[in-house]
Amino acid sequence: MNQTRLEQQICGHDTATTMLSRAVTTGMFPQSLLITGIPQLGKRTLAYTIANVLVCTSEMKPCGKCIPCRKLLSGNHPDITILDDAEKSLKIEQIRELQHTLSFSPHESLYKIAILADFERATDGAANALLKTLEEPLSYIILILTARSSTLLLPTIVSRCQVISLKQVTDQVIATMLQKKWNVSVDESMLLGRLAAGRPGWAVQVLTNPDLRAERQTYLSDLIELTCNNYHFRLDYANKCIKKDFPTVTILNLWLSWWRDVLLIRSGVDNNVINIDYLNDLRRFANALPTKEILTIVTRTYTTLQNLKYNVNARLNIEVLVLNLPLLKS
Amino acid sequence: MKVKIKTKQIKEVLAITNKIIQKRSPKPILQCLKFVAEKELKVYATNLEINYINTLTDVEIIEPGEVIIPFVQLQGIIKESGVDTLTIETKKNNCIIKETGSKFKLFSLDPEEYPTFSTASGSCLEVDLDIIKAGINKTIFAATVAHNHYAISGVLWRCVDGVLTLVATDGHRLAVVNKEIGEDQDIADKIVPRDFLNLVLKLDAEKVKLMFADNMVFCIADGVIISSSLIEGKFPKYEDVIPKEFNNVVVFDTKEFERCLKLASILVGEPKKVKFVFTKDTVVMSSAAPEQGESEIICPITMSGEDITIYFNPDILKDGIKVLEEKGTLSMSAPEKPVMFSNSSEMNYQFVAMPVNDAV
Repeated sequence: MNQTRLEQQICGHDTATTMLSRAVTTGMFPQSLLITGIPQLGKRTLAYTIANVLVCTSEMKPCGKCIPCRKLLSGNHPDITILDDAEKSLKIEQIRELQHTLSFSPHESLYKIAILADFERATDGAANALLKTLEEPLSYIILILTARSSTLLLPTIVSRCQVISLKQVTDQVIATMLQKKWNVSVDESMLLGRLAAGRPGWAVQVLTNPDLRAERQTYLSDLIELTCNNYHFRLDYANKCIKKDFPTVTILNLWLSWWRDVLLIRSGVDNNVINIDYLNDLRRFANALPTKEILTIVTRTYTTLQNLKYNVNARLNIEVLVLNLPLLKS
Repeated sequence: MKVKIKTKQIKEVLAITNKIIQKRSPKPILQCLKFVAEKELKVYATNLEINYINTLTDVEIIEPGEVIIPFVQLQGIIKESGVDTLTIETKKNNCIIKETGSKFKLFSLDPEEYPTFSTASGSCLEVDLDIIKAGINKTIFAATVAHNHYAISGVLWRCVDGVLTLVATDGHRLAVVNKEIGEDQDIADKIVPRDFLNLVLKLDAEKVKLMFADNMVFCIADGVIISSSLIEGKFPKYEDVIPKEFNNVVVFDTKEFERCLKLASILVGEPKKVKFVFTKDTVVMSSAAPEQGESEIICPITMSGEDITIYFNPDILKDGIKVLEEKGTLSMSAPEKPVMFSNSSEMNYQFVAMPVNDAV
C-alpha cells in the first residue's frame, strides 16, 4: 500500500494530517474539503501538500522528485488549478472558468484538483455558482477550499464540505520544525516558536524576511514610547498611521498581543507570554495598570480595528485610540 | 537538439497553434510549444482541452532532442526576421534560435514537464475533408455558447449504417446534417467541442481520419493530429423536436430571402422580433424599433396552404439560412409551432427554428 509523508511535511496539525493520510491510503478521499484557521497556520501549505500527495506517483508521497511532483512545484501540472490571489475578490467568471476546466476528465493523473485559497473573498455570486460543483462533483474532482473561518462562508458551502479546522501549533512543535528544516539554533528557534503565537507560517516568514522582525520591534517600541509621551507626540503618531501603505492593522494586532501578555502577567500567568523578549516592559506595564484599564484598552483596540474595517474615518479612530493610552513613567 | 528549419513551415504551425495556445495561462508551460526532433520534427501545442501535433518532414535534423519554446517570443522572432531558414538548438536549459545575423537565447522550461498526450485510438472513420467541413459549417453556429449547458455546447456526431449525422442546438434552433459516407464503422453519440471543430475547418488535406475513443476525439490529416476531450453529458433527444406534419410549405430563393431578412433586421427593437406574413406568392417581413422607425420588406416566394403570420428572431434564422442551397424550403404548421428549413433538392440538411411569441 502507498504511504504518505503528510505528517512530516506539515508542521503540527496531527489530527488533520493523520485523518487525511488515512483517507489517501484507503482511497476514500473526501471530494470537497474546507480547511479553516487564522492566517499563517499552514492552511495553504496543507492544501498544496494534499494535492501533491494525490498526484505523486512514488511509493512514499509526496516525493518532490517524480515528474508530477516537479510539474506541481513549477505550477505546470495540467490537472491542478489554483485560484490564489489574496488581494482580489473571487469572481463568478473565475468559478465558471474553473467549472469549464473541471468538466474535462483528468489529463494525466487520477484526479482533477482545484485549490480555492481564502474562499471568504468569493463574491456571493461566485460562492453560489460553486454550489452545484460541490454538491455533485464528477468522480474525479477534488475541491480544496481554505478560509479564515467557516462562519465567513455561506452555510450552504460549509455544509457541502468536510471541514478541517486548524488550531494554533505549540511553540515546541514550531521550534522543532525550525531546527530541522531551517537549521535554526535551539535558542533562536525557541524564541521564534514563542513569538509566532502558534503560527508556523509567521516563523518561516520572519526567517525568509528578517526585516519583519525589525519592524515588529519598531512597532512595539512605538507603543512603549507612546505610553510615556504627551499629546503632541501621540497626535504626530496618529498622523503617521493614516498614511497610505502604513500597516496600521498589523500594528494594532501586534499591540493586541501585547495587551494580552500584560493581562496574563497581571493575572499571574507568566509562562504563556508571546512577546517574551519584552518581558521586563510587560511586567512594568502589568504593575502600573489595573486589570480594568487593560481590558478597556483591549476593547478600544478591537473597536478601532473593527471601525477601520468598515471605513470609519481613520484619523479620528487612531487619534481616539492613541490619546486614550495610559501615561506611564519610562 | 539542433535543427534547421524553414521559417515558412513554422509560420504555418504558428498560424494554427495561435488559436490553441493560451497566452495568459497561469501555467507557464501552456504558453509554450514543444519541439521534439527524432527522425522528423514534431511540434506540440495544447491548452489541455485541445492537443495539436504537427509532424514536419522537410527539416534538417542535425542532433535529436526536445525543447520548449515560448510561443509569443517565437512568433515575434519569426514575424520580424524575414529570413528563409533558422536554426533551433538547445544548450543546457536554454533554447538558442539563430538566423543570419541574429541570435536569441530563450530561457526554457523542462520538456519533461510538458503535458502528456494520449495516443490516437478508437473507432475510425476515413472521410473527405470537404464533406466534414461542409457538415461542420452547417451545424456549428447552432451550438450554444451559454456556459452552463455543457452537453449542447458542442456538435453531436453519430454514424449509423454509413450515414454520418451531425447535430447542434442551443434550445432555440437545431441544425441537423445527414450525409452518406459509405463507412461501415458505426459511431455512437459523441459530443465534440466547438473549438476542436473550428480547428478542423482550418486543416488542409484531401482525406482525414476521425477516431473516437471513450472520451477523446482525434483528427488525423497529413502529419497533423488534433485531439480533444469529448464533452461529457447527455445530448437532448433531438429527433422529437423535428416537426413531422406541415400545413404550409414555402419555396424561396435563398439569396433573396437572406437579403430581405438582413434588411428586415436593421430596424428591430428588444427583444428582437420580425413579423412574417406569408401569402401565396410573397412574404412581407415587417419590423419596428421604438424611437427609430419601421421597415417593410417584400420577398417573392411560392407557398402551398393557407396564409399564415409568424414572428421570428432574425438572429436565430440568419446562420441557418446562409448555408442552404440555391432553392430553400420552409415548412410550417402553426404560428407557435417550430418551423423547418431545408434544401428543396434533397433532405440532407434540416434547420429547425422556434418562432417567438407575438405577445413578447
